[in-house]
Amino acid sequence: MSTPQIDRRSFLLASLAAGGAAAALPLLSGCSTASPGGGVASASAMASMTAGTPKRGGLLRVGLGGGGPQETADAHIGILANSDLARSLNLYATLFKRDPATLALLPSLAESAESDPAGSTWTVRMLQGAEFHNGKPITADDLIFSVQRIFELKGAVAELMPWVDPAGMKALDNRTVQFTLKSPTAIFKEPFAMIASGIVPVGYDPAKPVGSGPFELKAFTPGELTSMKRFENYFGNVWLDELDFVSFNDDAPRINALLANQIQATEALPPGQIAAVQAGGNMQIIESKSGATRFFAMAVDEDPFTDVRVRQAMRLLVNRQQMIDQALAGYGQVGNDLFNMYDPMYDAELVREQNIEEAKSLLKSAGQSNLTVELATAPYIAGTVEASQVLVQQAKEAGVTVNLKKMDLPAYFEGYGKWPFSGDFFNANEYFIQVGLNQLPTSTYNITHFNDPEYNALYKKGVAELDEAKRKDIADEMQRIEFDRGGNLVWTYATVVDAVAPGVNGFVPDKYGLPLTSYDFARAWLS
Amino acid sequence: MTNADSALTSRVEVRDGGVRRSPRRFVAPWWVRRLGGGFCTLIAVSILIFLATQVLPGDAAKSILGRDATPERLSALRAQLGLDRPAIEQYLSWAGNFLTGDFGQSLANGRNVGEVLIPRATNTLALALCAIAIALPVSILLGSLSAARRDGPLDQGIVVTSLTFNALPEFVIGLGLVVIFSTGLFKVLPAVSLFPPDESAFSNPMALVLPTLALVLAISPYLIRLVRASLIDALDSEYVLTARLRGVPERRIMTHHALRNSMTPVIHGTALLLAYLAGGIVVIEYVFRFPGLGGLLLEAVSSRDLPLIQATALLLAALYVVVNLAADLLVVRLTPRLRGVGA
Repeated sequence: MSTPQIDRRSFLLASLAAGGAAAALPLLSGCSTASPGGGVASASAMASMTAGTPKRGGLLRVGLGGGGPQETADAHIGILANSDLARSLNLYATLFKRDPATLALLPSLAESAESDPAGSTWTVRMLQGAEFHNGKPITADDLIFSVQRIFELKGAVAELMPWVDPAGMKALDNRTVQFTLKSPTAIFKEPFAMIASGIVPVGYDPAKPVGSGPFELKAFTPGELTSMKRFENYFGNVWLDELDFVSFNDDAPRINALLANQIQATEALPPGQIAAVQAGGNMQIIESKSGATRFFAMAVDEDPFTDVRVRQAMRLLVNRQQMIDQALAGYGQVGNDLFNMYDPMYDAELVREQNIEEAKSLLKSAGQSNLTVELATAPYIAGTVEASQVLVQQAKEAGVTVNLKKMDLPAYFEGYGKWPFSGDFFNANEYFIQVGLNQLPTSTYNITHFNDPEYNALYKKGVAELDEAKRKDIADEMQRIEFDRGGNLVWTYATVVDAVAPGVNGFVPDKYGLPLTSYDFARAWLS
Repeated sequence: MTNADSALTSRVEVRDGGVRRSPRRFVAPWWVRRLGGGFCTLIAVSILIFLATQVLPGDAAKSILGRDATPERLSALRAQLGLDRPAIEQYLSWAGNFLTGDFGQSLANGRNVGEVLIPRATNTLALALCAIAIALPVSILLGSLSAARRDGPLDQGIVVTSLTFNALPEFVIGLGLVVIFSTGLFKVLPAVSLFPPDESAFSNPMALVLPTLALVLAISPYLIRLVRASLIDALDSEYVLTARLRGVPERRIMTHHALRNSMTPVIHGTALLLAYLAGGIVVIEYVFRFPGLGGLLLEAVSSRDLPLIQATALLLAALYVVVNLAADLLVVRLTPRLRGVGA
């Protein structure tokens, strides 16, 4: 009985992914002429959005990409769908957060974090007088409990702080914890700015989620609706009285709900529908040119990608600007096979441009002149399937046949990490965090199976280097290795386009890559 | 009892029963036997579903963890969800609980399956009833007009229009309605359902308007053509000819003779539509973000949430059995030659 339904759904999804039936149907060729025309309009919208003095009150309903029945309110694990991310960021405070304009770390629940000269002991002091939603003061014990819970559940953040010893934390006073590390590091604070590093009270029960974020939970039905209200004793400003997250399985109804004024904000418009939303009325468009990375991944231990010449040829045959124009309607910046162009460690000297001749000669010398590869793809984030289709076309120019293996998400993630040639995405993380996420043999998301001894050694040296200039030199060396022999084909740093109704204020462009100013609803206010 | 599902067979049995009339020997009424057969069907369905989910790639743990599914996290979660037990043991423990009324907990989020299922089923019931309540009379009216004015301009107009709507995919109809009534031309109706999960569609009638309309447009063409074809058959029959020769007015022939006799396929068609509306309208549910059963089953399958898949599919299968039985009972009432059967 379920088979025809799945077919119907995938048909529907495919149709909507191709541009949406509510708007005009901008097929691939149609998109290619569109330029990111949001620039001018969004600048004026932005002026109106930041104008005025924030005031308290009101309910904001936000439409988000849902995660179905698996949506979670847990602080530390299972945070996958956009609605999970948004819930986590508003229910739970983290020690640090990022400045949306510069990506610099800012203290949030932490007042300070300082290390000894070697970086082997770090001392975190939390804000005086901060409370959890249930009125309990936040103490050093809660921080220790939270970190231990992250390690016990093997949350993704645990991998990013291999130096933290769950048994090596000590409360110095009521709001100060001393971390005695397994190995010295300069990258101590960054993992504590990640989603899924929220501070929870001792004895935390995910079924009754208590945090210290700007909003506290009223009701949560996974896959449907999350209702929250302002946490009156939050340590910062919160303007909204109430905040609802409405989960959507599809883009078209989400955008229709915005246009029909049933929700007042939505995230990440599909590139093909941005023009229609702009034309359709008075919505404010927030365009965020971000450092969030979209890439294809070649497994360096799987034929034919074991040969570095094949990997380099694949990287050389791509016309990245054309790919962005066709797959993302121009909403993206050209990628250079490295992560997060806005990171201070980013090596802007490494630039990759299309060179069909060189690609061909590399393939010839590798004995792969008639190369055929299979690319696994799924709509895991906007534009990926379209970009894969563009790659198929571009590869033909260099004599390479790319066969698409297009799947739905469960099937794609079932084989995630095993596909020889697939794709992935990341937000704009700090360089050494990003390396921890997907470039090391221990990384959960290392789908290229990259395991380069020289590179791994540099990482070890880099994370322990407290001198930032020296750390940057090491990062440059590492990026050179990625550029010369890695498996990532980074084709774009994505531009995220959100839309909010008139009278919704406070959102600013964000370089991190998460929609709606990284779901920072504490800053939102209604006029 | 395996052939009990066919309406035809049961009608034959009914007729035999009517002829023989052995008053002393107790034979359960045919519809009781059908219910028994339906129960066996449900058991078979539950086993089939279980086997199917075992064949599907991935499991609930893999689905929950998505791209975070490292082997360590997977084995921990599998143990927590009881997925590390042998398959037979998983099925038997589920079936045992189910028979005692414990539908279990969703693997995806730990919620009680009954609590998840009942509101969704209520919403779907509301939508299906509204759609049938409008589509059925409209289709009978238009189908009759069409048959009565066969090959005339009205008939041709109705046939062409219904073929057009029949050819349009449901989501195009749905999105078209949204553009007309919600976001574009008139901004009078909600584009999507946003009522709180603890309320039902019955108490939020505005949320039902567009999905109902879309369904009416989607299913009416089928019903109209069913009514028209069946009525044309009846109008061409000998008893109608006889009636005409006896000078019975055309209108009376239509209402008292032809229409009534042509209802059997319409009733069976409506029963099939009801079963389809209960589980097969995922597309309409998605377009209007309507929280119904079809989407629930789809989500349950893609999250490999076995207790929820089982409960939802069994509910749909039970509905199928009951609706078909009800249709047969109704046909028996309407068809004099099948009547007088009590067995």
